[in-house]
Amino acid sequence: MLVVRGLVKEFAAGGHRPTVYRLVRSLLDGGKTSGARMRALDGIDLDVRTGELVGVVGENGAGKTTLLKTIAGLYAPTQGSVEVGGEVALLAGLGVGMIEELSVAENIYLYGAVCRLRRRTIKDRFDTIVQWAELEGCVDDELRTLSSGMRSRLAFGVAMQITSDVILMDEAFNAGDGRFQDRCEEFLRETKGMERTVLVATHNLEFVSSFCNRTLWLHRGRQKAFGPTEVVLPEYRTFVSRRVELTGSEVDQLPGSLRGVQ
Amino acid sequence: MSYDARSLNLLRELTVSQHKLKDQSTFFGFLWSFLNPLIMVGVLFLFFHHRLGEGVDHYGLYLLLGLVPYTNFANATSRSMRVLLTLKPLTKEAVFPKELLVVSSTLSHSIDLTIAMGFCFGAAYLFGVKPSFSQLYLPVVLAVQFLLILWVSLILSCAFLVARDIEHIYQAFLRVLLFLTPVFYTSSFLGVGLARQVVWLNPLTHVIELFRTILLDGAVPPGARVIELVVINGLLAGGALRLFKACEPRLAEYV
Repeated sequence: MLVVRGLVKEFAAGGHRPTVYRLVRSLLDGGKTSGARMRALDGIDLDVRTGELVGVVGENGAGKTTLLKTIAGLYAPTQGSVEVGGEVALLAGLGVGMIEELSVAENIYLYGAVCRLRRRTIKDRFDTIVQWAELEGCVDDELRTLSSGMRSRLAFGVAMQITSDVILMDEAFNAGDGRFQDRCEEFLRETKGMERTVLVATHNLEFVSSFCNRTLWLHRGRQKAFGPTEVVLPEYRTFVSRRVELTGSEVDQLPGSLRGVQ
Repeated sequence: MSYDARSLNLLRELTVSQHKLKDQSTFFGFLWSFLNPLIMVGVLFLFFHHRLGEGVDHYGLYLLLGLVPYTNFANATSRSMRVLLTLKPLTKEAVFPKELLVVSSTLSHSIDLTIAMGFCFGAAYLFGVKPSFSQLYLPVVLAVQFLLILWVSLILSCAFLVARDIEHIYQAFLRVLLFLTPVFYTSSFLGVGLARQVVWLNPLTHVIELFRTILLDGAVPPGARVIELVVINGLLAGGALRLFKACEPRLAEYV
């Protein structure tokens, strides 16, 4: 279960690195010179039930990653609230924390720990992970000797063991070849039957169409639509296909008819 | 987010991997945690043993027992201060209590200190200090140094992300700290004035004095002083952890 109400997230615009000088100046003038703010999320409202698989679509910079990270607790909301029923796992980039100079076996234990798995669980499923990743002969090799496809398989093999109640995926299965993606989809099909809430941010609209009960469409930080995939996705596809013909304010106006969809 | 067996597993994996990586490509590996201060001991002994080392039994060992904890403190706090940035993908994209990154970095340096103190123990034996029951206190003093490094690192790691100048300020402070810690001089050298009071306010002074009491004098450290140091540093570590937790929701933004 996941409930998001009036979520707003702002960042300092310009991305200036903080310095002691800037910090002191900001403290002395009560934050007046703390700089302009950029609103990455603006008024997001979601109700996702346990067992639902929700697709999050939108162009680059729409706020998909920011939304997932805010739900995961990595970013504090500027306004609004996020309520998560259970433990959250975020898969933002497969293999986060894996180390090039360590062996495949060491990385399975390390990444498994990062994915919040117990040591006993990793030990018990070690062979399954290696088999799934098709790395039987490379367990003692250093990670840096593996191709990017092999690393993706290894990381996904570990991530598949996650038991969290809410799973947030950010383009997690876009790496690898077609066969790898087929196997990832197979895993997600199995996940769908479990008592889990899954949010998947992706540009893969075929995946959203096949797997997601509902779809959230974000545009420049705003929630353009959130509703059944069969309603939201065709509108988004229309938007994407017309996007090349439109610019600026016209683009902002385009999906207005969908605001009421829930 | 609460701590459970999975947090302990993550702490273990992070500590081991950081420790493995630190000296992986070097010929002497973990021995550098002892060799580094040993080189400095040679230099300081050459220049100071006639004046500052006068009246000190085994001045070389005295220097070693000052430099090993000081170097460990300086290295551990400097690296732990940067750990949230060094392990940026974990800070920004993984969901777990982020203090584990700082604690694991501190622990990996504690492993170095434990190994280096093993060498100091051997050196003490070579200098003629006989093994005694007092040396059983060593793990307690190592724990005090761990707590000291932990609370300093927790505060620095947050401050460093908010203002990167902190790193340069801290490096300058560490140079000053070498002179504010009785590494190459004795407490009697300071007399009874302000300098002595300043040096005694430095928590590292007390840790070094305990190491020397155990390994150089072969004596049992005063129980009250040991308890006092454990309690004070434990409380400060608790306070620093609360501060870190208050900053945690903003860490991913500042990295």
